[in-house]
Amino acid sequence: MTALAGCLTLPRTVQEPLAFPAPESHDVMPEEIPNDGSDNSRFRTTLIRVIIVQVVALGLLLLLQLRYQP
Amino acid sequence: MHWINWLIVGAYVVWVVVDGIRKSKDTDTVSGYFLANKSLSWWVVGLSVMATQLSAVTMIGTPGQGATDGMRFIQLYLGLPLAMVILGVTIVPLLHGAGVYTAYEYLERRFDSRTRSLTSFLFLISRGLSAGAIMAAPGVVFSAVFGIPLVWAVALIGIPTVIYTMIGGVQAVAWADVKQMVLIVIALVAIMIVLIVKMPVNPDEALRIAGATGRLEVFDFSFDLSERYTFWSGVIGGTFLMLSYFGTDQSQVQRYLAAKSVGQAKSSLLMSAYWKIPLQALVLMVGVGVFVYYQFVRPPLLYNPAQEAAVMAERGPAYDALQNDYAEAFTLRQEAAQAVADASGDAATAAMDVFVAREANIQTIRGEALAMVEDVTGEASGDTNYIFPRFVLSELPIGLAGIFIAGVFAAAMSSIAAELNALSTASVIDFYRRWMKPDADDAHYLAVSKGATAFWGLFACVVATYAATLGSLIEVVNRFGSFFYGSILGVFLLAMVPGAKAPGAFYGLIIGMGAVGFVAFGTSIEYLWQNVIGAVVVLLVGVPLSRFVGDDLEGS
Repeated sequence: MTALAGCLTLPRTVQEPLAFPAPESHDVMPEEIPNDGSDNSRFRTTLIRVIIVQVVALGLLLLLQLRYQP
Repeated sequence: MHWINWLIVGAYVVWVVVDGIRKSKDTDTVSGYFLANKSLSWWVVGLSVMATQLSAVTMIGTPGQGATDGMRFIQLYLGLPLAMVILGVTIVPLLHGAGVYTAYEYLERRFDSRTRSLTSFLFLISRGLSAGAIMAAPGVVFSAVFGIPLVWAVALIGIPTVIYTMIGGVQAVAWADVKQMVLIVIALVAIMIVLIVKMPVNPDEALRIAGATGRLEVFDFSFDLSERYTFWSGVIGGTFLMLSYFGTDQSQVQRYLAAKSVGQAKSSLLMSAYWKIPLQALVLMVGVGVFVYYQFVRPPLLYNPAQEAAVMAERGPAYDALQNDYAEAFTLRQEAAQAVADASGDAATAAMDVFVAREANIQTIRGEALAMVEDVTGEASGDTNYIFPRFVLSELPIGLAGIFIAGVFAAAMSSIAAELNALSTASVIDFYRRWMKPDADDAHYLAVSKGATAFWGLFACVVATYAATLGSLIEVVNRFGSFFYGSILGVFLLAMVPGAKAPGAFYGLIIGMGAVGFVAFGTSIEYLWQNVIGAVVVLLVGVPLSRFVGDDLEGS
């Protein structure tokens, strides 16, 4: 409760820029970040694999239950 | 434990510390120390995220849970793949591109400084305590199993972790996580193979025995809010829990903030989506395998050797009598288990009925022994957590047991290191630099960061030694943490709503936590649903408050 009271009394300043050297990509907004095609391609490929692996894993677990659970 | 096993554990710990520090580059800048200059590859970040989430509790307690309760725990993770995909297209690009060191720093840009400070403060409190609880769990087990003082066990885990986290920053943590993840998987697969080889019945017969006692009931499709693990609580509540954990918890966010690009950060999260359910299924299946193995090889009546010794000292004759009953009941159950393995057709159903009745008899005797433990020691036994370590030390060959114990160390160290690194980052960036000393140079912040890591490491060690003697404290910490997760997620979701204002976020967060507190203590609704309730209440309060009151709540 003390912390809550402390937060309530904090000045509501707006965000200030970082005072120390920021990482390179800190200077740009998300849509401007260099993001080559291979990253997007990898994301799509991995996503498809994720779906396949989950369907197979959950399917196997369901089969296990149906086969052995009385 | 055999000296070769200790040698493996010692060599592994030294290797992790030395190699973690050696691989750390450019840690003389704040960006390098906290974010690895955004230089880590997706697979390093992905393995680090997975290793962080896989704590020693997973390695010790989850196989025990598989042995006693079966596979249903897997339902907790059903929402994880979906959560990772959602995060990949929402929060990850937002945070990675926002130029922030902590997730809460973003909230100041979007709302105001007090929303940032409150969320960061909640993180520090809940994660500081949970780092202690994470350290306590393996500490207690090692202390009891190896007969060493708890303080030693905690120090054995805590000191090397603090050293490499303090010196190497996020890079040391991430590279150590990679090794730890590999070791954990090797240990689990090797144990599974040993179980299959040593099992007196074939895999099909073993699964029939497991199924007869309900341990292969993976999915429960009932919609019951008071049931902890169901398909629906996993898919809905689990999705919100994973969104909160991976999207707003600094110990996870910091991993993908260190990735080379947004695309690599997204891919690293999908790695968890890829492997989590199969890996968790493997851990639980190992537990089920141990259960079946112990149908044919008599396990101890009590798995915790320290508690067994305490009961024998205080209630020797009564415990001896119970052990005689247990020996007879075990022989009968062993015959019944063999009958289940051999039977087919209608005979199988009858054999299963006999087996289930004899298993219930065993559980009654174990219940009496556990009640005796509670009488003698005055604390809950937590015997489930000792099933797997006892199995490993008594049944696995020399060397493999050492690999498993090293794996448990690895799991504990990876989770604690991530917590310490994140706690240090939040302390320095969200509080020290924000409110106390905004204009210092990198060298100053680095020195403070290392001090903060050491402080939180010490704090976790102290909490661990106390948490260990107050068994219920760990549960309290976990429930305490679940108050915040959903509500903090709600604030981040609100940040994506156009027109949402700071008072809506701040008061929404407080009311959201209050609502979760009411649900937790005033109803029987299980904790997975609390994440959904917290997030939804923040949105329901925050959106209208922002629209109708705007920025003027305090003024009015």
